[in-house]
Amino acid sequence: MIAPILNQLSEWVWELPATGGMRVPGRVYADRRLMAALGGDQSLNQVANVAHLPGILVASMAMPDIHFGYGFPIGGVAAFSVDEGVVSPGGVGYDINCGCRLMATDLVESEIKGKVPRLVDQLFRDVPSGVGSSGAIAKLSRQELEQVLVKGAAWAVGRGYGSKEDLDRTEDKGALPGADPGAVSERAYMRGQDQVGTLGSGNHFLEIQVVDEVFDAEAASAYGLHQGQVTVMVHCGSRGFGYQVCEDYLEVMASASARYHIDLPDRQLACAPVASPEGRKYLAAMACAANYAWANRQMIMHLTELALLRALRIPPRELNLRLVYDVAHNIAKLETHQVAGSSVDTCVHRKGATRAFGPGRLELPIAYQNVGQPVLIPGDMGTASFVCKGSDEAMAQTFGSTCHGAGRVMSRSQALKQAQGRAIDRELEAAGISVRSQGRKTLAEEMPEAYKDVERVVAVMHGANISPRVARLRPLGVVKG
Amino acid sequence: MAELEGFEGPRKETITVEAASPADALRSLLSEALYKFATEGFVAARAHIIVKTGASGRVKVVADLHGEEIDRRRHLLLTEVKAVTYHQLAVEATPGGGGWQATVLLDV
Repeated sequence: MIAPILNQLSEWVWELPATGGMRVPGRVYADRRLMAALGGDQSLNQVANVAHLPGILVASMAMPDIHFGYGFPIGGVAAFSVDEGVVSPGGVGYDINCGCRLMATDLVESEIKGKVPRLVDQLFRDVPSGVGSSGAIAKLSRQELEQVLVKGAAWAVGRGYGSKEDLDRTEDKGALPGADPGAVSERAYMRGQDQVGTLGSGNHFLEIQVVDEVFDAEAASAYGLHQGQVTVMVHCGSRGFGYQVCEDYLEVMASASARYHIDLPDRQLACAPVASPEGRKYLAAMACAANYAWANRQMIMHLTELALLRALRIPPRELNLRLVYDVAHNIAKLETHQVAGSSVDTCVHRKGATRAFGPGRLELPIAYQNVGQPVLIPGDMGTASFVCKGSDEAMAQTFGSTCHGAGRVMSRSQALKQAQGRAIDRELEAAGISVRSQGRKTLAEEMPEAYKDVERVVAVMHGANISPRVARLRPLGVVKG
Repeated sequence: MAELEGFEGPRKETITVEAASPADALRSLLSEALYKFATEGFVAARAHIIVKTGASGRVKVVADLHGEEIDRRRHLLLTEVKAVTYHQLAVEATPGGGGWQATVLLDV
């Protein structure tokens, strides 16, 4: 494998010139140290591979949390023309609409001092987590599950699990249009029937946090956040349902790529024209999985509220758990963007990347119209997570996208090796963070050193003015799957 | 997914897959086994596998999987496997012809 040559365009932006079959250049957002850390990583080759796909616009982009993925890199953003471009399940990933939800409370840190272990225990009991976790609610009938796939978070709200305001503060109001339950396999239904309201395992988490520092008082105030406030963040996606949709359509797309004579540098980039029957059907199935994920996070928010009320023995109005925002970070979306001065219909793939729409976009809730979209960037469980804001610069440069997290720097097996002989839970306890985990090895695989420095990742996108920092959230208690 | 320790083989599941290459057949077989785990909690502790290559080059695999359903009281669960990917998928004969070497990447 040849290491790609990069030109540094500015302090934060690097270009991978278009060579060979690349239709556009690659563009990587990173500082010198993050770039050096990529070294011989395959992810830069993956950025170049994506640039080969038909109809790609402007550049194959990578955010500073870029790391190796299957086909597309994680931290990748690629926009394709709806008329001439493609859609690829590999550009979304297996966990369709894996995403992040931030909830605010009326509590401050001092009010839960000494109670965090109890809160974490209660969350661990009440929100199913771990391998194959299921059973948050009774197994759904086929008809009910079809409603989940079409209505998304609104299905959960309709069942009493949340309020209409929650929908307003969810990307796409918690439901992508165009979801067609008929585009989904029987297998996906089987895998999805009892996993709504479950966390799963791996890097998914439910975390009690405190607003540690506010960088942008105006935006923080618009988002309802202030220093010292207790927040809760959940990171999870569409569970087995989404994995199966991706699996099914990778196979469909493998034959479609051949049928449409699309030359693929890597078979996990299998794709079909957006406007083709295969492309449209994938988008309809993907929307079902995205909606499943929004229903899932809405249910988890409900279970979280019940668990916190139970553990704290306070009435709901004292907790006042409310949604700040919910973002998807594995998704392909039909969006209109300005390209070279013209309005273009695009299919934006964000794989491990977050939408970061700037002020004035009609997709945002009225309360956030002036400041831009809240961007939620979870870090590792020992450091911090960030709330940032979307910007005009993101609209101009990255199809309204930014990073999605710290990004792994160690493989899971490397992390396990490094953690040998250490008790990660006790190390975190010593740092004031209570942790509960289902998987015996999960804590070691997910230890803070396994991730890039989230401060640095966020600083790049802040420096590039793509998603300026609003607030830092410090973890107090973590539930891992 | 789970530590193998403690799994017995009272239940037999037969999986048959057909694919264009040994690598694709291996991926399909593992993917079928993952589906059994995801929907029924079935974990195979051992397997007896017959591989046949037809005149067209297509590979047929019949796998008898012996295992049981997970029991959270007796078995130790690890990380969830989302999928068996196509990335760097390879099955190659080892030098000297003594066996086979496979590369399969799981998304976890």
